[in-house]
Amino acid sequence: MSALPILHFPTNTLTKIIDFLSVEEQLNLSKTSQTALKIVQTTTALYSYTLGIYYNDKFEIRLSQLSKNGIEVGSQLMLAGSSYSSKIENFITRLATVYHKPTVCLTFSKGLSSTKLVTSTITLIKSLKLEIDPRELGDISPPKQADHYQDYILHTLQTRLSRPCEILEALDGRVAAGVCEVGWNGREALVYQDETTNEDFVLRTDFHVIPDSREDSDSDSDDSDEEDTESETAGDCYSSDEYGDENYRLC
Amino acid sequence: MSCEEPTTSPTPENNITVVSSDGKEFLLDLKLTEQSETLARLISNFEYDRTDVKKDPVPLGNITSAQMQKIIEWLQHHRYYPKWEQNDIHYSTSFTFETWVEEYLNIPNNEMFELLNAANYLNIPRLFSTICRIMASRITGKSAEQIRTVLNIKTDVKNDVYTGIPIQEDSSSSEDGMSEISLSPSPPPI
Repeated sequence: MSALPILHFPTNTLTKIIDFLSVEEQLNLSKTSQTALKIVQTTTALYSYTLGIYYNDKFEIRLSQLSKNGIEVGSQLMLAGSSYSSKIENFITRLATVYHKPTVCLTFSKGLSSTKLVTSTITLIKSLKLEIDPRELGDISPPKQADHYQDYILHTLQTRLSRPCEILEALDGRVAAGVCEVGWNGREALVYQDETTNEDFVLRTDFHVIPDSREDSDSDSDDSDEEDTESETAGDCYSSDEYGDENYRLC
Repeated sequence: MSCEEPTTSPTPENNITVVSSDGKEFLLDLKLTEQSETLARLISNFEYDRTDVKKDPVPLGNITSAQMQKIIEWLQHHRYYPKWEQNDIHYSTSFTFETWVEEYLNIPNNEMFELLNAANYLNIPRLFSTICRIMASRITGKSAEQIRTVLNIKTDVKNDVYTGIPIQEDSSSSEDGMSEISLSPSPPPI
């Protein structure tokens, strides 16, 4: 049976076919050639996408396809490894390329111990010039423009109305005040601040930072290791004691 | 889905003649042409649905007699199906087709390609969508390298599009570490 000359199909036909494909197959098709990549991009340009990056023991990456009025019409969940690695970077980079810089939702479900993971992920997101969706910042009332909201967070950071901001230094020193706890309408927010632009990104609001009562039993992590060591054990990402005296976890 | 097909006998009043690119004439019941938006619009514009209007044969220069025969077979089978609604534009985790459709489209790829073009030209959305789904099903579950083979895609890049890593012939899914990223079963489209 002869091969289908699919890349020579009319655009509307190709769009229709690609519409039926899952994310994985669209990605695989886009890898086959530059022409195929452009064709897939042409199709995906008809929609908008949200890239959800979640971390809860493992990276979970959800690509949601949104209709023109913002309603989710489909989504696919991809499970990645437990450690931040070049695989994850490549994968997110690929998604960003094929799906036209989707808006990103970030949720890190466990462990401030994963600050390295947080900062690495955000650094990647910023390098890809992706937007972080302010709608995912929690129920902001009244709704504010993203800039106003960032001003508000910045103001909150400066005044520190509630508990003192716990500064957790990132391993590579890029984020001097990267992850903070702030009081905000009786709630707390995990905020990442980019030290070069002073931009703030609220990662989560639905948690409380509490001291971790666990003893230093998981002492096998080594901060000097690069992330590409590919260890897939949760401990490598999760050792909550890698930040010094006090241990924190999100709950 | 199956529909009972009552028998009807076409009469000169309720049919039109179409002529394929190789000159063969086909008598088409007007009821059948409702499935083709192209023909339906043409009939409406020329008022061929009126009994007092003289109906000239409609030339279909892009469609051969073999393709027209195949299309009429499709139109006949779906004669009493409800009007097609565009509700399946998004991917599905599995492709299932009714037995009749599988047999109908059990044809060589080149014929499938021609039939797809004909369905596109005549704007028969149910047939067009079905063939697209069939083609998508041939890509489903395949790696990039397998897709290259199935679709006869000559890669125009030496390095991976995203990572810059040289593409190896048989590293279908490991070229960017994707092999260790699993895709969980997708929720059904809303």
